[in-house]
Amino acid sequence: MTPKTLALAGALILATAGAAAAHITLETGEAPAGGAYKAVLRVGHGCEGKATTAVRVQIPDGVIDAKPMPKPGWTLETTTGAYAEPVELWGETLTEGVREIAWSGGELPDDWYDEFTFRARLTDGLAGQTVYFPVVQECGETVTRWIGIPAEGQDAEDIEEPAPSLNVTTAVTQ
Amino acid sequence: MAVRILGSLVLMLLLLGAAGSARAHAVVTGTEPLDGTVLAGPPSEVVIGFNEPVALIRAQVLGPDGQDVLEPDGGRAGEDGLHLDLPEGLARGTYTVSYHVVSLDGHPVAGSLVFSIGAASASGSQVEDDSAGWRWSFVAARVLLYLGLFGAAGGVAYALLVRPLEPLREEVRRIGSAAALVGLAAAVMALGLQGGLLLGGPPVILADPVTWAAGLSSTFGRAALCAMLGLALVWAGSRVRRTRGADLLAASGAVVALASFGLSGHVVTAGPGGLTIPPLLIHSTLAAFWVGSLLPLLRALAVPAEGTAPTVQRFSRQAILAVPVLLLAGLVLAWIQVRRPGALATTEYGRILLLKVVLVGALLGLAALNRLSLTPALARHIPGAGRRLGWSIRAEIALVVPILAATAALGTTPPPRALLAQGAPADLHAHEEHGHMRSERRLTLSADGFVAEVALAPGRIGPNGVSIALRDPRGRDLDVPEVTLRLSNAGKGIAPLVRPAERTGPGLWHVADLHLAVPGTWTLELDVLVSDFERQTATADLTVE
Repeated sequence: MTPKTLALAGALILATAGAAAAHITLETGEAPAGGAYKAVLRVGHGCEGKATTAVRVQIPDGVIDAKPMPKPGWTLETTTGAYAEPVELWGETLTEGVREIAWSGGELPDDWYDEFTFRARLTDGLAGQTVYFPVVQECGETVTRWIGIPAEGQDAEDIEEPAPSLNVTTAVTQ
Repeated sequence: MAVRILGSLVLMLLLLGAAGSARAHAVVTGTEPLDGTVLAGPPSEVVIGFNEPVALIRAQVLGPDGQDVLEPDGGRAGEDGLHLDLPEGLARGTYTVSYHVVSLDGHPVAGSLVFSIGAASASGSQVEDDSAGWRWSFVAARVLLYLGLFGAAGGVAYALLVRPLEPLREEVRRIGSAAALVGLAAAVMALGLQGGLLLGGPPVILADPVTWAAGLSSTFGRAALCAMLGLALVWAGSRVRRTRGADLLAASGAVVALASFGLSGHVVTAGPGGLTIPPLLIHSTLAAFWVGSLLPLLRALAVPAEGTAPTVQRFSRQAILAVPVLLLAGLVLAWIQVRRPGALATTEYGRILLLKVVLVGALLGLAALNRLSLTPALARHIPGAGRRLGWSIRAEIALVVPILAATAALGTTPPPRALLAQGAPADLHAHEEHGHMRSERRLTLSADGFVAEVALAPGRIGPNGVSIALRDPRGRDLDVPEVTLRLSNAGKGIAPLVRPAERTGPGLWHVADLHLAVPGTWTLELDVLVSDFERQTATADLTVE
């Protein structure tokens, strides 16, 4: 074990430590099942100091009818795919819908803050669960993936780059 | 008798069940600067890319004045291969880079390249390529070792199967013990020469214990120790007064000696999962029987007795059963190594193999002559038949030596298979193959979406290279955008060393220059980005010595 080896090990340990400072998170972290949910992704920094050029979010199973809010200066794209299981909405059976939303072509400097918004419905089956919206933040060539989902028994705090999460509560009786 | 032989074979296979597989030889994928380039200004480093992690043994960069300009710690195995840091202010002229590295299967890979700064020197510096001397000395020692192993183990098999009568039986034991001594001496020599081949350098390094330690710690070292144990048992069993116990001792020695073939070499590393070892053991066992029978047969003919003709006929009958199996196993092994018929002509390995096939063809011709003509003639007491058969057997012996030399040369030549990137099929459970003398550690990790074969070389403290082969759960190559390796040692309070892996091919990744500072149990976590939005992690423990 040379001093060089120790120094290298030390540098690597330090490099991994400072990651948990700020994440991409959802503005509203809790919402009832069976209703509409306005998701606001808060982007407080770029990737390693670089300006954010794209934000992509995956819509998890059980979250349906997702509609992104357009954003001046950003190109909006959605990817449609099959739902995990067909869902009833307004008397119709939906088997597919938006599964991924991408805002790209913008330029959000590291020092600035912005929000990326979409709206969706939370199906009744989600009641009592935590759902995760994995986000890929692109800063030119550099990519930060906010896609970490805690394994069973794992503390969410231990995840380095956690996916934004939403606690779904029991539906409000109407 | 047949039951005992079968039992021995089964035991041998069981002994070798633990022997693992490793990836192919390291192959250079590119260099920077390119060989033969004339550069405008001095480069800051030389990079030699490999298709898999390598460990640096020795490197030098000789300048126009013939002096090595590489700093003592200027060479390292980096992310994308071997990096040699050059000092600033290099003079104009021609530089010669040479390097010796060890690939995952413990085989040395050496190479060199030449580049010039400004303009080429009138006389470029010359790097002495000392590897050829080591290689051929090693091959020669291997031939002697084969002869010793085959003579000793084959002699035991001959005594058991052909059952010569006294005093020829005693003669066979004397030949066996002499062959065992030859093999023992050759194994010791080969250990030192393997070390020299690994380290490179002038012959005087044989006086350095480090050279021997290097030979011993290679995969060949393990095989040589196994061979020596077996040979010592055969020798002991053949020297004492002949009893049932002595015969048993010699027989067990023969089994152990032959088992050494399954512990080292290209076939052993060809994978998958040690499946290639049985044909290798069958091939070497039957070859040992054949080769080891030649001298005893010659002695039987030289001492004409009542039992000579029946003995030779018994051998002939048994050999006719062994030969097709021997050839079939050889064909399987050749296919494993070569894969493409075209490679027979275009690679050095293929050409040596063709030479071996031609020599074996001649040997088979002699065997057919013995079987069809000379042995029946001997049985019919035709005058001169014994003498003619004796000459034919001498010719067989004369052919066996170059065949064994070709075999040993194949062992030091990269097989065409090494040029094809291929991963071993994975096991669904995480496990570690412990091997004290191994120069690598292999692990299989799995998660819902992937199965990963991870090889850590050399698996000891200090710099390590890691190669990763990813498959989907159905066993197909899995191409993913990103793979990250984390190694932590909770016991020693070491937080994860996080290293992104570099993609080297479809489903293939590697991490070079991973420094493991302390021995003990490390936790290896493999983060695989199975899709854009999903990262899966597999974890396994790893013991580092």
